[in-house]
Amino acid sequence: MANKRRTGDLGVGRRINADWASILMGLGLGLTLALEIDTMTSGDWSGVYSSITSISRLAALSGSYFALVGLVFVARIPWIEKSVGHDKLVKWHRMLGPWSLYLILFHVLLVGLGYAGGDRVSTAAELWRMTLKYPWMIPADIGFLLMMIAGVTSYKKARAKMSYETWWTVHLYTYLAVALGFMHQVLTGPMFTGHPLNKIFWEGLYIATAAVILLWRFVIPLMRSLRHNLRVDQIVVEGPGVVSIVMRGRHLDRLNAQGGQFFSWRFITSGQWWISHPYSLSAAPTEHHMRVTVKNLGDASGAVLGIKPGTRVFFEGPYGTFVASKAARGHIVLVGGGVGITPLRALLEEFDATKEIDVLYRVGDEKELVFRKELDAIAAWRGARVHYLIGDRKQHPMDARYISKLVPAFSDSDVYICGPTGLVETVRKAARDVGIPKDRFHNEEFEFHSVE
Amino acid sequence: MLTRRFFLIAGGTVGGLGAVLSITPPQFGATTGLGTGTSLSGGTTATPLASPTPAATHKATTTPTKKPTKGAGGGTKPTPTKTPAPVTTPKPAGGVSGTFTGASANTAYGPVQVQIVVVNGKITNAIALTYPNNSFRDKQINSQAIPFLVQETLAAQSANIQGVGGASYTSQGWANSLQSALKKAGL
Repeated sequence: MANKRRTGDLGVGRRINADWASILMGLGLGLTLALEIDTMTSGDWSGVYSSITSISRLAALSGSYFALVGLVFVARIPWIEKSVGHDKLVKWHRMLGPWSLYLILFHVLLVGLGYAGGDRVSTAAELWRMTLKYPWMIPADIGFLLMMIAGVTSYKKARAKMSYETWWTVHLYTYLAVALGFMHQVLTGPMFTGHPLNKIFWEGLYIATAAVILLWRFVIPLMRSLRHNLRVDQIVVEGPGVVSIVMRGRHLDRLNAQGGQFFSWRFITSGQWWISHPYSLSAAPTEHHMRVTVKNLGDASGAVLGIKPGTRVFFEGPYGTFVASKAARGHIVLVGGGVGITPLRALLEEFDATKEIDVLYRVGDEKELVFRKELDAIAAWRGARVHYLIGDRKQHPMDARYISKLVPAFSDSDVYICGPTGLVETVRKAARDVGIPKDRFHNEEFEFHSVE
Repeated sequence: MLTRRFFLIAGGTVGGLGAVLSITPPQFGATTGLGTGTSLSGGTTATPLASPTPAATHKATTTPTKKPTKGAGGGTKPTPTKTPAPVTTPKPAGGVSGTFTGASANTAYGPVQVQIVVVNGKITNAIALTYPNNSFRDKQINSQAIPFLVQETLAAQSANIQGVGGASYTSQGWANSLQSALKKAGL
């Protein structure tokens, strides 16, 4: 396993690129605000209500701009992915998303209030009147609602309550939402009325965003899927409710995927071609095979069980920075909880021989153990200790003292963990207690992948 | 790290905004004068709203119907020479002169009525006597749109104008009323 082709954290280079991205983003925001500021006249701030509508437009412009930038962040544009890193992009996307929503919400409320004040009617009546009277307002309203729903469902607590697939489907509607809002902007926005340059800039922004999304999220993944001709090869039952899907394709090594990474998979059957699943590789990929292992977690991972060999698979990826090249220390601790062992199983193959590895595999009951044979075989072949920690929390508290006793080198290790949130938080605390710095603690949230 | 990035973004924003504003300075002071075609008849296309508007007062903005004569009077002087090229019509000098009011044209948002000032067969000024201003929104749209319609009219020297995006109803009404005014003027 050569480590050369790995793209991990490139350090300084990435930071400089991220800086440029920040400046560029700020520049775009400045130009966007200029659309409004440069076309304002005294009438736009001569009274309280005029000022309110002017502010509402600034909010609308910046909110829309953030929405577009947020979409570009997750559009899988290769040079951005390479220079900033997918994990960071998803983080930024998550930071920006709420702001976009707040600003657009702010716009709707303020524009209603401003016009209502000018017309001396109630805000609700004014909003209703605007919806009926102005062009493309009904689509804009629908877009607004879709956006709000996507926002609410992405809120941490709400998201924890639904399956990934439900959340993802709702989230997908934000594309539609952004598109639906466009026409009412250019048709009624005073910054575009009679200002052709402004209109060209704004239309260009939307068209460019749509183009990059179309290209890198649809056309290119489709072409790669067809080129690699990936199909389900066999389905293997690993344990109760846990199955492995082995897929076969052409030149899979050219994908440069690594154990620990995940893809967004789409199984082309009549029932579920429309939904994609974020599953981690459960074995290091080879030239012809890739494997994922799934437990019946959400509503759709149950449906996966019915997939037949020969089913065509479309994919996007690989994604994720839960990779061997991130390790800086000589000693590695892999902590897997339940089916969370799967990416660790793949990762275990990827570390070079100089690394010393301890695997802590935590399950409540022996029946839940999967990959025991494989883990033991890899451990014997490359030299690693696998600790099967079977039983309840009292037996295996997973705190600093307990782990240090199992793994004396714990405090000087890179920790890779994948499992339920409770386990992750317990071990995170243990790692902190023994003085492991944050950047040596690598967490793969297997309940919800950061594919957006 | 995060604050540094915040400053980079803020710096970019200020830079972008500053660049635009320094190229085309904002016109916070300018009113979009309705019925004050004067200010716009000779204006350049880049910043039509930007040209100083001596005749435009707030009063003019709010009560354009009372101001036709003023607008007309103001418009007569400087414009003819400046009127842009498309009007290289071989019309003989000494054509029609006078003020002509078009028929009121109804739109979904209310009537539009245009008055034009013609000097020697050339439209030298145009104003909106009536335009939809029932709602705050209408006022805002039309206070932006009408100056452009004036400008288009002076450039086209006919009712064959492009209209203004975002104010298609007013534009249509304007064209219709203008057509009738031109007819009255025999142009």
